[in-house]
Amino acid sequence: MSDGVTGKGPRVAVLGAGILGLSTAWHLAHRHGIRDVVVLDRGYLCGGASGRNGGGVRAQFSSEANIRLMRESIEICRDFAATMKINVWFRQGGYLFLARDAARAASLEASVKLQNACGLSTRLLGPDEAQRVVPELSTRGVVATSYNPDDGVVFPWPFVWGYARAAQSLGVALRTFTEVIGFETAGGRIVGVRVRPVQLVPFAQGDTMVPAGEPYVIACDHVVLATGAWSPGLAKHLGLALPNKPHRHEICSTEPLKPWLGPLVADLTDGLYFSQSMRGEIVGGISVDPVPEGINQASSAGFVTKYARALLRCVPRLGGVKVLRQWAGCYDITPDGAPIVGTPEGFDNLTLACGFMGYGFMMAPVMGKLLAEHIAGKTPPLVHEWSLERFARGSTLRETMILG
Amino acid sequence: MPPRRLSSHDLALLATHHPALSARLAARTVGSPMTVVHDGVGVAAFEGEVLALSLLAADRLVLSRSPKYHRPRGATCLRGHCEGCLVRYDGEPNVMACLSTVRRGAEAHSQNAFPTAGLDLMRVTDWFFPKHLDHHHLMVDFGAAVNRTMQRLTRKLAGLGTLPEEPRTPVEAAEHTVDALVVGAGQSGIGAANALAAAGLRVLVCDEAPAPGGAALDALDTPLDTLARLDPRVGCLTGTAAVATYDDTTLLVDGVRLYSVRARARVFANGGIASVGTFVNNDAPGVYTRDAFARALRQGVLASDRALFVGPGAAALGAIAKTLPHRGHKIEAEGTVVEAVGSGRVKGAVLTVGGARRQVTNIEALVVDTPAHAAYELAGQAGAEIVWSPAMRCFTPQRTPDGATRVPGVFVTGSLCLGEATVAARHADGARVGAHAAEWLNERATP
Amino acid sequence: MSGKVLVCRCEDVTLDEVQKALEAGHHDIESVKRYTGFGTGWCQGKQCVVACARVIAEHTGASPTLPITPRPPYHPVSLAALAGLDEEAP
Repeated sequence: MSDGVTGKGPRVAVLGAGILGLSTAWHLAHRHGIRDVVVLDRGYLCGGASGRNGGGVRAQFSSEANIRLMRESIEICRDFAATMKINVWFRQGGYLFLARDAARAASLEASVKLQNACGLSTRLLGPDEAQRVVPELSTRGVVATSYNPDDGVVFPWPFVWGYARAAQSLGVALRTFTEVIGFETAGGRIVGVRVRPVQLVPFAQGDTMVPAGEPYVIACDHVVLATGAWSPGLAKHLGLALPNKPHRHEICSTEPLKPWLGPLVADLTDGLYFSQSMRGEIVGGISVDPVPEGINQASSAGFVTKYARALLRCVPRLGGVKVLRQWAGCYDITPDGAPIVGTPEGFDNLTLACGFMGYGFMMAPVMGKLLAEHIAGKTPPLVHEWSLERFARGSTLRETMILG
Repeated sequence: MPPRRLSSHDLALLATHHPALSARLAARTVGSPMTVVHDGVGVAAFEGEVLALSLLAADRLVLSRSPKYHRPRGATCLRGHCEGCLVRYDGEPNVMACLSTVRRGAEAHSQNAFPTAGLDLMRVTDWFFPKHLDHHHLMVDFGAAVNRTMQRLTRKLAGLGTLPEEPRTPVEAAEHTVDALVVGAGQSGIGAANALAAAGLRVLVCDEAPAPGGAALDALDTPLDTLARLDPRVGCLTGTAAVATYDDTTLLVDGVRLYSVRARARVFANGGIASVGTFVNNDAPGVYTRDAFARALRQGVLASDRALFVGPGAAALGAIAKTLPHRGHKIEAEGTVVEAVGSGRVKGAVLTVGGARRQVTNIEALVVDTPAHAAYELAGQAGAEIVWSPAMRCFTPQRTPDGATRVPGVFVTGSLCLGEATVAARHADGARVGAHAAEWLNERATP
Repeated sequence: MSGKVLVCRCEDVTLDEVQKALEAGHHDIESVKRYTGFGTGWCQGKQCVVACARVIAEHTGASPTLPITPRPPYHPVSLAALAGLDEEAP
């Protein structure tokens, strides 16, 4: 069956029309002339983690790889509206990290030193200085903070539409409501992706897929697995075991208020984060442990209670502000906190792009570029560093600044 | 302007001609006179009165401005289902005036308006973008610098209301454990709750309205003594809305404090939501649902003295309103509204009646009668399958003949499932589903 | 016909805007919700979901299947009230 695609080069099937899959597809077409690309998704655009996150974009990380990547991603975000012709409402209000004990303060200090060495203008601020950044903040119990004014927040949805539309205009085919149900292999290589049209019926306790057409096969020369928390399940069809695990994370949004909050505030003690969206809502979440492993996008009372308590500790004046909506999405968690990318041994025409730990959205603009280079045959060094094989060797990677 | 509050002469007329409404008026409690302040102006009110009604009675119609286009908005549904009456009240943003009562010393302010809700200069955005503002592609073609400037400006305009002035400390939630929770104390909810209580089960019923009765109270020609009454064994929380349901826990809120209710069975009997329908200027202040106008009237407030009532249900209400002297109400029992005319508040309407276009002028309110659609959301949160009903033309929870859903212990009843139905049919449905829920519970009795 | 027909009052979404979203290829209710923002405001869809579902059905010629996923809370709840719940709640 024909997709009406044009151009030369390999035929690439991208699994997952989230931000990472679409960014990769667009970079393939735009920078490498690889336009025979089809992007598949079982649901609608923004239905997965790309449409369920808080929109944070920051370069304040504790590992050099993440800092450098995110610095580039922030630059892409700044010009995204003008180059991709859709507003993503990127607002650089900064990220303000709070530490409430000496150990976290020391770790924050070390991260800031590394960030400065990488060219970020992050500053360590005392509680009083932090309060000048956010006058409504209660700094009781806060011992140290770090602030990078260049970090910010975006509105996630148009980011996804922007890549989708731009990729489509270059000939990339996008098929939503198309579920991958298997692979065709020959001579140890993947030669096709077996799919079926579906209607996605969301259900908190697990979405169901109602078949909406006959299954068929999409022939391909290369497969990109960019389905986030759903990646281990799909990799199983290939006999490939991935170590990443889905993990529910919840988030909520309040009534919209006139702008009062500049930065995204993040508390390293409990994983609380909150920012003010362009529409004025306070959007945020918090770590909840333990969460049973597995795909689960249901909302809980426990989350919203814990979030409300932690948020009022930080900003007591929010007490009378009302929550309008809570929802959940799945983080894609790896054992060492670093993503899994590149081509695994024994799967020559498969590229993994998963395990992004809840910061995949903000990293997608630059990761899509690197993944496209890898597929085009110019593998960047980072792709080796983040390979699946590192787990067998014993990973030495570490990232401490994980939120939500 | 003739008084918006019913006079003793009006009340006497209603007692003769509309005893069902008269009985509702007699049953209300009227507090002592007081003054509530709205945008710096003193407004006559009665202690305990609904704030939105005090404001309507004083002809303070424009209460807020819409987020993007700064279109004038006012109370429309009077039951907490729309955003029209959001005001800053007592230092807190976005308070629904229709669910708040007047308090001494508390002040109400309009929001998102410069300088006032009545005259908001930002209304120019409404005229500048006559169809709609495409925010996705606004100023994306003039380079990054121009785009960033647009974004900074847009952010300044976003949001309704400002942060509360004072901190508010957590209010400890109350916890209840019951056999069954019934959401909604309308005719079906009362039927279900009574059936559960009769089976010896501990039942709690909640309703966002100040008293049990439900939509039947707004059907002003239905005699009160034909309505079902709650069995005294049923625990009843009025002025308390169900706000969320998770696993076996349902949260209720009485405005300030949450109730966390654990119930082995949950019966959703929370009826429908009326909206005004889709026509040009359907959001104009002065456009009311039939139920909203009726709700105000049974509290002694005429939302308008020159209203146009459109549609059969509204016409019946209009006939009652026309009993009152010195008012200029009009009725179009068969028409469909095409447009509400007037830029700040309703001044006229365009209808189609029998295929012909008709212009109506000299009105200041438009009361429309659109069938309510099922409030499926809570049942959906509880896990019930939600389907489209071609007959009801809305979404509704899927149920077995016993009122059971696909989730064990979750039942649905009343106009949530039936759509338009008589008081008796709703009550009977509730009683039947309640009896099945009781049977289900008793089969699974906990030791 | 001139003037705006408000499909979603809370977020100022007009009928025209929903139709533009449909023309742009967003044909399912979740996508139209995201593209136009209907149902994401104060009332969280109480007023607008049914109206939007009807507009989409008219455009696609298919009967509506599902509403947008109903998210808690059904009515807005203050953070102070939520913070008063028992943290061990499910």
